[in-house]
Amino acid sequence: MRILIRHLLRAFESVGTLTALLILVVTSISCSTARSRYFGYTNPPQENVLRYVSGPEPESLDPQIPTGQPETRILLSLYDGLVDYHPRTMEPIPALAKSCDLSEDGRTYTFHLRSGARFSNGEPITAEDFVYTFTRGLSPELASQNASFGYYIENAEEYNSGSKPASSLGLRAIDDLTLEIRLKQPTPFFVGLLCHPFFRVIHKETVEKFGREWVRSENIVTSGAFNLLEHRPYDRLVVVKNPLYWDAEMVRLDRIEFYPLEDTNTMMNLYRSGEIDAFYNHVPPASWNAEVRAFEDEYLDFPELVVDYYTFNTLKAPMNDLRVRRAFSLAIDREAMSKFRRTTQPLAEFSPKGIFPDYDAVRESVFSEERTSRGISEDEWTRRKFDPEAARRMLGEAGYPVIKTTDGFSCPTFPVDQVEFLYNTAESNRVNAEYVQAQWKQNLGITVPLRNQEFKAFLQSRTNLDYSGIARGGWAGDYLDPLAFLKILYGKDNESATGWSNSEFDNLLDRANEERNPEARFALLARAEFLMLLDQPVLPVQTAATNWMKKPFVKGLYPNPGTLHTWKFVYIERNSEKWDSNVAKIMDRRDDFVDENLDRLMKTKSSVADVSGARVKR
Amino acid sequence: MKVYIFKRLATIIPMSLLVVSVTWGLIRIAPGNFYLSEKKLPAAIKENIKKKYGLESSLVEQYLMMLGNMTCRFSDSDDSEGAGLKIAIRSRTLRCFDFGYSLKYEGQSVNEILSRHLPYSAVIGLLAFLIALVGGVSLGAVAATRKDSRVARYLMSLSMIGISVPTFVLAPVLVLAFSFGLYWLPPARWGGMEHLVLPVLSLSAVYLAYIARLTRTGLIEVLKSDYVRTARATGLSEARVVVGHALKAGILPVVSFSGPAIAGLLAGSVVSERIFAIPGLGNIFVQSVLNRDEPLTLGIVAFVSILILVCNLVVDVVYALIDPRIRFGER
Repeated sequence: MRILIRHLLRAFESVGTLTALLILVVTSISCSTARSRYFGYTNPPQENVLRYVSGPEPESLDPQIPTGQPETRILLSLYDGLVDYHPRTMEPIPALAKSCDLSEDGRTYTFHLRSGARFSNGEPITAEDFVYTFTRGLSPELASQNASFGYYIENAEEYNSGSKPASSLGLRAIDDLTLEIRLKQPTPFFVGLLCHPFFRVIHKETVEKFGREWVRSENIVTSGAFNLLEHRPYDRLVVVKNPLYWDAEMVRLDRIEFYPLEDTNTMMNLYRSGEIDAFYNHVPPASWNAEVRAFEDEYLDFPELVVDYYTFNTLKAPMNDLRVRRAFSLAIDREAMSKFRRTTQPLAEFSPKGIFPDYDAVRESVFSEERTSRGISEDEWTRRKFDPEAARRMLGEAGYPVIKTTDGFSCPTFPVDQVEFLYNTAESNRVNAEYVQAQWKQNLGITVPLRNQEFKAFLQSRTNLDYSGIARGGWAGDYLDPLAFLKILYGKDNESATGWSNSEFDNLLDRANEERNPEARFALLARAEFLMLLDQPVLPVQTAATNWMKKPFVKGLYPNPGTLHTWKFVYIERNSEKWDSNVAKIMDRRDDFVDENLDRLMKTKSSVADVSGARVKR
Repeated sequence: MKVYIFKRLATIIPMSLLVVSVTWGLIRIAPGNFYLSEKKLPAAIKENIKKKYGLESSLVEQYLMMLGNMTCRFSDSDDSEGAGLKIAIRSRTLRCFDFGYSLKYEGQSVNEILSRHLPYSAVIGLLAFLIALVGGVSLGAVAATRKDSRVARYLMSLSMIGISVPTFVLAPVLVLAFSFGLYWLPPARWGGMEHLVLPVLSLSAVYLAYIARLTRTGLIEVLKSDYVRTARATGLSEARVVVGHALKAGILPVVSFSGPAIAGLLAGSVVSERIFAIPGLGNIFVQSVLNRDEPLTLGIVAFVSILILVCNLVVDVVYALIDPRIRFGER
């Protein structure tokens, strides 16, 4: 026995010393770094190069194939379209089209292309190339998952499903520099949609010659401000300035190095060691957030074109009862949740707040009208973001009385075994799920079981309404218009995964699509939104934020709602006096290079931005 | 011996086909597919995708097609697309080992992805194994010969820590120490020699610790045996006794451990590849499963299963070469 104890002690002694040594080394390292103005190594690179983490490895460099934002970020450098994203607002600004006319009926756009624009192989870009590009994107053989972006074009859906020939499409090259696009119906946000890579011009001969391998670096022909230099999958993708680009004079970066990475801690480490200059949105992990957001010259936290919400399975009891759905919505303290998450804004509506200021204003007045006509007091309406008492009352009315107990509430009759909270496996989702679970427990006395699934399995369960109770939802708008959000609840078999549909809602959206006056159109959309919210098929939680970082010497890179950058506006500032400071104000600050070039581009008569209905905040 | 090796090689084919078939079945059972996303696709687009990727034919047809691609099949069309071996026999083409095109990475063949990313994993894996082998055997030998000394105790405690601390803890600690404390090494990415140090170290730690313990245990046993006593009696120095005589028998457990270890290291490690942003096969394999990229998953599974089977065979042969007591097919 004594020998055993002695052995144990010896073992502890050696393991103990080693562990203590290790802890000492690590803590001394982590404490030794003094707080400086910038996060980690901050020195502009020698050359005019931007090193950027764009997200995971791109699916393809064919602009019409990939569905994700990581690819879009890269594709925006390689291909140019009729219009380009405004670096701050993402509104369309003129690119290959210098101007555009809209017909009286709001269905026919005539784009006037720039003369002298060329592909990277020197061949001119003509209206015929755009007809080819759009037709190819919609062809059933390409089977692009993005084809529905083009469904606004006349006969596009029919051609894509094989029932009509390509010649029936509403596309026509009137001459080399004039392109006519005829739509199925007036679509106020159509020009904004044309910024998407799906509509960016590609070179016909190259695509037809090399087939699916045309995007390899040895074959590829591009049309954007940058050319592909090398692509080493999962490692790096380098693009260099395209001397043949029509606006090459403006491009200040000689090179962009995109690093496709997956681990967010790794990205933070690379940023800290000065090996990258900026990264995409949502990178800082929760454990880093408190530390890095203090660097106010680098940390960007702005509203995003994304809403976080939960869906109810309205086809199954007890969530088929409106009162139960409302009770669950009223019982979540959204303000507290946003404070806890730090990177979100509380949301009780379905389209995000702070992205469409014009719509926000119209919505406010429409909601107040609608609420008065339904006898809902202003006080009751403002408390819809969190009203635990009303929630308990509502649940009682539904037949599940909430009883006060010594340590809170309890709802013994509620069928907890028939509900669950389904989410896809991810640390941030788990934290959110536990938060709302605690809220329901605290305010309703109901402990909703949590269930997580791997992403694809989760999508399958949710899409097939194969869940009971509540599931996590998140939606990123494809274009800058509230319709990008409301449309997911449109129609009988809609994609909201709630089982909910409403003919009056559909009718209002139809009418909005016919309406030419932007304000009247927004009013119709707002009424639809109000109607839907009253029925509560979804439980809106928050407008997400685009939290990301950039070194202060990277200029012209703005926290726009989609974190999609127009690279020709980006430059490296070597004079440290002109570096960005306090980036919370970056959107309101004038940048001579960016704003002079914007003015130059917008000068072209009947600018494309004028005909797009969506107005966004500068 | 030759007959034995030939027999073992012959079993590799049905074994890996079985593995591939089971994997194929599992992928088909798993919920979701490669084109399922947050956004619901219109029915027409779904139809187009199914047509493009041959998902309209029956399951049996799809399975046979997959097996044919992975082994050999005749194709009538002489299209240039597709990877793998192409042998022209009269007017037809015999195509072998064509793992098909990735569903996620449009236009990239699985063969191409495998051959492009294997070298990264292999370089790191082999270096890590080399360090683990040399370091582990030497440390184990030291610990065995000085069984009860303080040095041996420290070494064995260290190896216990090495085994218990997972890569996802060790790697960030190394990054913290060497990249942000000492500023000696870059924290991640593929590049020069300096980029190799941290991933190799963090990957080799577990293997080194394990090999050290295996060597020590094996060697202690052998050092007690009669032939070692005889060797000592001839007047050889202790070092020559250990290195020249005892070690050969003492590292047999290490040899059998090495087979699967090398195979695993060559095929890449997910954790260290993610943390150090190395474009290796391990991470791509995991991503392919999450993306439901069937051809890519099957290609990597087929490759890794063959690798493991071959490594095990090599180990058995090495066994016989080291230990004269082991003979194949002779009684």
